[in-house]
Amino acid sequence: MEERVRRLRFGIYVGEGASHSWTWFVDLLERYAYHRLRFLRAEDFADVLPSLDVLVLSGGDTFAVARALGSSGAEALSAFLERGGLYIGSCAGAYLPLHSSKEPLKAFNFVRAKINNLTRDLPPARDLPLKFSTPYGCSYVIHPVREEVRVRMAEEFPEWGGRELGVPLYGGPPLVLSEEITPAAFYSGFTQRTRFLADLEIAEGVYLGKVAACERTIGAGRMILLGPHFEHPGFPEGNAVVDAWIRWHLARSLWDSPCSAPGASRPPALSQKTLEALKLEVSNMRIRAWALARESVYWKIGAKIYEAEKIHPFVDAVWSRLASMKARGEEQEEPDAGPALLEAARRCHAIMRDLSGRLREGLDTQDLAELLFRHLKDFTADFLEAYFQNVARPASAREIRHAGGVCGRA
Amino acid sequence: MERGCVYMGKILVVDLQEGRCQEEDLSEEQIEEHVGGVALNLALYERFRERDPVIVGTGLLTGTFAPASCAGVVTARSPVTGGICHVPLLWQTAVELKYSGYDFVVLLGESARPVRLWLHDSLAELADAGDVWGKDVWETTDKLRFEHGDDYVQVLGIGPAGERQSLLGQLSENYWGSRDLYGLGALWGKKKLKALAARGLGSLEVAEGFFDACVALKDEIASGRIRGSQGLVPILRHLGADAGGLNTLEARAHRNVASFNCPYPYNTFLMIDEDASLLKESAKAEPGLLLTDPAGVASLLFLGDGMAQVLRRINRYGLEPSACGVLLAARGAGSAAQAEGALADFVREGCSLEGEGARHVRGVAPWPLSDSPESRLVQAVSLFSHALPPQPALGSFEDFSVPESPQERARWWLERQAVSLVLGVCPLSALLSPELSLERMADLASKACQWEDLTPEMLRNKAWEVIGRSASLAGTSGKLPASWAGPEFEASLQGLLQAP
Repeated sequence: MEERVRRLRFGIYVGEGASHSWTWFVDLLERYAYHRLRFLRAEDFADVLPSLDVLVLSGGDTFAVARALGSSGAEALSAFLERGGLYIGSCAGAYLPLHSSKEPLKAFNFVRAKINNLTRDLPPARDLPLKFSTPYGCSYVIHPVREEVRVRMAEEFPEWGGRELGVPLYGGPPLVLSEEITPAAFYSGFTQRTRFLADLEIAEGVYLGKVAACERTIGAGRMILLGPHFEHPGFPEGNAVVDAWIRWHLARSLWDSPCSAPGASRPPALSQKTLEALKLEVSNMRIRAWALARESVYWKIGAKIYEAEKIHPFVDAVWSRLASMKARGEEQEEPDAGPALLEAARRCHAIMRDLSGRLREGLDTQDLAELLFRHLKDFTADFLEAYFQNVARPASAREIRHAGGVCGRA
Repeated sequence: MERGCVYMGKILVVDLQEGRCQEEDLSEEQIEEHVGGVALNLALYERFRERDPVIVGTGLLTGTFAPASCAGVVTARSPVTGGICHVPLLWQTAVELKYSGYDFVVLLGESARPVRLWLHDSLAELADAGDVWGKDVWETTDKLRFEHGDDYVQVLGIGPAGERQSLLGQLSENYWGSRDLYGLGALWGKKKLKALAARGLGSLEVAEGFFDACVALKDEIASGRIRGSQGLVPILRHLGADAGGLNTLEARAHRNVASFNCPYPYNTFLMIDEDASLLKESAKAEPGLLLTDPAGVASLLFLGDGMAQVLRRINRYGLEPSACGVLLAARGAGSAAQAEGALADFVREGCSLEGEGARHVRGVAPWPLSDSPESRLVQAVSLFSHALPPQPALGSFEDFSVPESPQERARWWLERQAVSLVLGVCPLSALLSPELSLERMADLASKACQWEDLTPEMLRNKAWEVIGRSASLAGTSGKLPASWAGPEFEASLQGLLQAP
């Protein structure tokens, strides 16, 4: 079983519409020693998907994702599931495969389940009005709470059955129980860290007792839908549930990845010179990104609100791994990835500098923000692609235990 | 738990002549032997003595939860006194330096062209300083913060006074000067080092129980001698500064600001071009200035309402305020306009108190508020900065259980400075709060890294080792005031430097 687990090939969608939360899945997968990771854009989605065992689609703008993937993406996803693939969608990734009559979502009608946060009568927002609701035809999808919520795992769920845990919710769906889905967790309460965007009564009505996580079998494959972000690095119990779920899926699946274990044919790592230059650039970006996180500024990109604090998770995802990267031996040639990564980092940093400068002057930064998030996402994904091809090593049991909650939240 | 847990574990050696940065590990053995701060600074100074080094160091507790853990120290040979000096850093610079990944920075030799050092995430970049050379301290700080994208970047740098190697040139912590009486600004100018900027996103690990001990001591300090007071004015009033000048200053006081983790907020922000009662953010780019230096402020109080305006100009030039006060008084510059006109002259190469025939102690501006025997002794030693009061800053010597003899009082002051600067505890806070005793400081340091044999006796010995070795390393060439001279004073001074 363990060997099957290690052979799993994951694809993480990072293309149009994906926000920063996919980096949380990268952290989780690495922590649990899943190291065969690829990063998919809309352009190569249909081509790469057949070579994967698990597809991960996290938060972002559901409409933008559906638009970018289009019908060819939906067909590729259908084929992927039919042959035994596992789809894990959280937040926007959980909305995407739900039945819809609207373009471009209707190409992705995989799960006939209703969301419980759809209303025609928009209640008043108590907090964060921009995050509270999203128009959907003549109705609104509302999000009465954010941050931490309590969920109770279904009794049948392995290891975690009947247990209650805290997980963060950033707009993900509460689902109405139906025969179409097998529930795995229900919203069970709020905590002191829950942020209410509407009155308590409305929040209780929308969430409590509704399905927070579920699965549905499609063909030989399976879809796992998570309303809250179980993958968030600050919630190790949620992370452990995701790991347990992947293993549970594998135990019930006949499908096995045909490829050999990772590490067979790795390209050379980056040269010392490139690595050092990259560290300087990324460290400088990181300082700027954390400074930007203190700015009260946001941008609307597509249907999604991006605050400045969403910049640093990308940079941190790179920085936290750069330190452990070893340079290649001098006898090996510099791979193409090195200079390209360095150039991409410099481009991102240059945009960040311009953006800081314009903010200081009180000028409009919408165009730069759109450019920055696009390039930053690409750079991060390209770096992680190189990282997981080159240096990723199985995490020790100790590291996994640490991440799993022994030492509290990361 | 290792003793090094409260350090980042790195010493950076910058060869300015070669334009090269090299890292060394800070070893457990080095910490065992020197503990840190000024003691390790001195060891590094001695090791690199031939290269006229400047050592910027942090203490064992710098940047931890310990009350008043803001301090760092710069050790170098003063171009003013000719002797070794240890200048305290009391704002956020030392904390940021440690968080940036470096516990100690050794600056060797002289660069051929202006350079600046940028430290972050255990990475060091020595860059051309063409973009800031020639700029004043405020412009430099602004430029570097913009360049590195973060207003939390801490800048230790020089202004035009330092660049032109005026012996009145001071090292500045960001915009607000420092306690450098010793012309280290001129030394940096000679080395063509415009600034050291640091930003740290690192973190430290401390032992179980340390945090609770810190909170308990902080509460004790807050409810102790300092209770009910805040800002620079009560300190200066206690020390005997001119009441009229203090009233003027108080009328312009806008807020009091604490240095990192200090229980007493001893820095006071004055409004100059703005209403002092304003509660919202001022629309003006530079509405006032922060007073951080008791001696400098006291020396300039005679300027009355114009003091703040003149001090702002002094800060921008990177001049030493006490020395400027002495020179301005000597020239009879009684108005802000006259004073500002004179300041430009102080920036010129080689300008010094001695050269101008002004009052000085070994070339350094004297403590302006008392002429007690113990303050004379402290100033004559010229190792630490008497920009901080050479006596308790709010209470009395009795509060600190110090015997009446001037020598014992001077000995207490020197020891307190040395211990604080070994540990990275604010030496001004150590003069404000009797609760911050040698025993409590040793206890905190011991708890921070489970170092059981870090005792008060050990710290005391370390302090006197620093004082003795520093005094013997390079004898000062600076003269004492004629009125102080005499065999009795000399004997007292010699006796003072002997370890108790």
